[in-house]
Amino acid sequence: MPEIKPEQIADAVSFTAIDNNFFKTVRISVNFVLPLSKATAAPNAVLPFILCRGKDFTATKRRLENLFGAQLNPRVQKVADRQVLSIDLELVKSEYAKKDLLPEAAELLCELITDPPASRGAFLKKDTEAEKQNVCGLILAEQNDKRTLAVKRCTAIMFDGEPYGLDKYGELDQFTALDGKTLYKAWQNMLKTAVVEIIFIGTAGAEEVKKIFVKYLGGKREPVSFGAVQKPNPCEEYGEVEERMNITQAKLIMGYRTTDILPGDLRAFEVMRSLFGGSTTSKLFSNVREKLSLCYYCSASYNKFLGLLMVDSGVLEENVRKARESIDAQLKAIGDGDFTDADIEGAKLYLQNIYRSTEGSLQQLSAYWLSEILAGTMRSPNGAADSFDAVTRDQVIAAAKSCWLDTVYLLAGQKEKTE
Amino acid sequence: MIYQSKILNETTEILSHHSGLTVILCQKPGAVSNYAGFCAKYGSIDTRFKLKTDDSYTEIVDGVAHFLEHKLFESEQGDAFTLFAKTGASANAATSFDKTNYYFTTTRNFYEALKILLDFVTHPYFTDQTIAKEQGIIGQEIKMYDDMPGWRVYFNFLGALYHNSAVKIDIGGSIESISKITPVLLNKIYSSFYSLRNMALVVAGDFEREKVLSLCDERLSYAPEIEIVRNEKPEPPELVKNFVNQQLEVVMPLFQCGYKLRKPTAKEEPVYFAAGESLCELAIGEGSALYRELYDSGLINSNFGGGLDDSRGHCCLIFGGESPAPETVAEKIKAAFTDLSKGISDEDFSRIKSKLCGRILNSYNTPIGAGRIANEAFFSGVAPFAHAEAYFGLKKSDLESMLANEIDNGCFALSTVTGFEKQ
Repeated sequence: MPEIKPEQIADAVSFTAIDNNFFKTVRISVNFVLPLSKATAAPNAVLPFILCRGKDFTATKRRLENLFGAQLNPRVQKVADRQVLSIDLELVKSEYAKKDLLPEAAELLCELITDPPASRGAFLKKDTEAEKQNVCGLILAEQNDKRTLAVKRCTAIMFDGEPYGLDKYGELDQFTALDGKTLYKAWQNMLKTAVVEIIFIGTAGAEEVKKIFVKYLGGKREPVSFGAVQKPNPCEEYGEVEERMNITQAKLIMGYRTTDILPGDLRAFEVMRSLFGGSTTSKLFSNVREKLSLCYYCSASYNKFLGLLMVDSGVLEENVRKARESIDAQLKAIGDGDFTDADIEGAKLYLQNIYRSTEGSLQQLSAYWLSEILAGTMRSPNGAADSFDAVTRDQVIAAAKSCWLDTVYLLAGQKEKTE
Repeated sequence: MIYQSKILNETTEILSHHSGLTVILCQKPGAVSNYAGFCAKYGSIDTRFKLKTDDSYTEIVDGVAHFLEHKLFESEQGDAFTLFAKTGASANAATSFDKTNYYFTTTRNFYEALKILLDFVTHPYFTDQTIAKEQGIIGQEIKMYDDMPGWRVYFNFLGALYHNSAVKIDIGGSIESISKITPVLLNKIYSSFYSLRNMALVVAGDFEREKVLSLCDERLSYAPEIEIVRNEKPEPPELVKNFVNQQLEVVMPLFQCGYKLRKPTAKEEPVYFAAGESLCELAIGEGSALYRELYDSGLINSNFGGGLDDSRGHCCLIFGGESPAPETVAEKIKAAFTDLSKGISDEDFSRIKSKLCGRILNSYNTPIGAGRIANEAFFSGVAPFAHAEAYFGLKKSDLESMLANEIDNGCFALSTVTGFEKQ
């Protein structure tokens, strides 16, 4: 397989072509990477949605439907200190559609991004109001889901005052002040200053798509530059926050930090994370769930950009203390070398399967490469998978020892009133 | 028998293994990851059954199918997850209304993992002790769902639609119902529903057919003929009620609304489903006038979605999301269906057909997608590509006839979840 490399097609605009003939669809993912900040998060978050409307909301949707149901998907993500505004387009390959849809679809995508309807330096009022409401609705929907909410609250507490502590959509109270002008300015700023990452996955047409993007995004720009994310300082003390709502099951989140952070070699940390709380043979699954029977889910996720290890679990409130102790004990056990060689092998095989599997899904492959591009690592999924073989037992122990508990967050039910 | 679809460029073979098991092979050359699913035609709606040789029916308490799924991963030697870990395969299981599927996907060691799958599903091990342990875990799973408004609003909707079908009952059952589960009950159910004659093995991806079949020869024993009599009470066409609300800790109301439909026969099913999905798109798909009206006025957001929902025990059109005014949204959806009966333009029909054909092609992008569709079709008694190809052959008159004969505004219900009223 030829090496995959982002190609600079304009000032801070790069195009990454991934040759893949397996799928029945092709995908173009356009990602605008901007600093995540309190002042700009909300207006930026509306942009992918308002741009996908085009000149006329319904006419745009119908045009896509007529292109064999091409799917246009606006999204907002946060990656460390960056806010990523994405518009993905997926469409049926020409051999199934019996005609080449790609040039028209790529033109449409570029038109949507660069030529939204506006008047006198402002987006139209009806478009602005509709999309503000939509994003506010998405924020409220996330708050409806208590598992998501608990993870978000813990993150906000751990990263208070830092960009990653902000909601990816911005805060609800910031939306009232947004109007067509502020959004228009945010859009101009996005076009001028964002680092643009375009990912194309398909078998033919990459050159043609690239030319279309050069035509639309090839002008002079003033791109923003990103520094390295600051390494956290180890800390002896941890914070405890408890919040209450009318719910039946307590959501326990334990946030750990580590100095193992990009651009270092993080393979050992990934193996440690998988051994700790990744797979169904992990320490958390086999002890907190299977042995102690305390919960249904208890797993650990890892953010390589920030050195954040987060355990997410749902337990009865009376069992919270037991669960906390057990979670902490599992991490300590890894630090003490309390695991077998077979455990490490299992953790590595688990990771290797996950990495290799990304080639089997268009969405996962696209997300994988965006993450590699943003991390500056550019490992192929198979190359990354193979690299886990070299991780040693001592490295796994060291990775576990590098973690310290930062915050314990509990979202629990209302306490009975005693009168 | 080998089925080929030129439209989809897919091939599926269905054969009867001499053990009694149906084996479904979906070849996808070039796949990086292979899928295998070992599936019993037994789910949460199978609450009462007997074998032909039994005198009386066995009543099954709520949540047993799901409980059994959890328990099957255990054997005297340990759990199946530990065995899968040695292959790197990612394994899991899922209980739905009408089936229980044990599956894995893997990029390496496929035949090793397949052996493990065939072995653990055919070797049950239930003890009082392991059952007690699982009651704690599943108890927390049930509580997790109790806090999920999206789950509650869906089951409440089914509760408004169905008098008799057990689809209205939470798949996991309740803490009370699962406390009644014993090894004897699990063994009785296992020996009936997990007969190879009531199961299917689906393999999808890039694999060697002969190796899969020889593993079946090696690991599976002959299963005697079995006849399961499921006592399903007939479901009347009427609703139980047309509105249901539950209060939960939410900041924005959630809703599900839609039409209770007749359960089509296997022969009708492909065109019925394609026509149903098409009508949903015409009425309230992203390109419809109503979608825009609701979206622009903030009555729905981009999480809104809908379509045809079905199982062996139900069939309905369902639409849902979050809304500050679910009642208004529901009324407008009903009105949009009424408007459709005034006539569907050729232009709209061809646009929706194009959209849905693209969506169907997309669903065959992965081995797991292709495998699950084949399994679904087999259990419904339909040929593997019939559902997908129905979209390509759909006629406007199919939609018109469905609209005229199947969709009744008297069978439209709304379920909402709203926040607690402040005292």
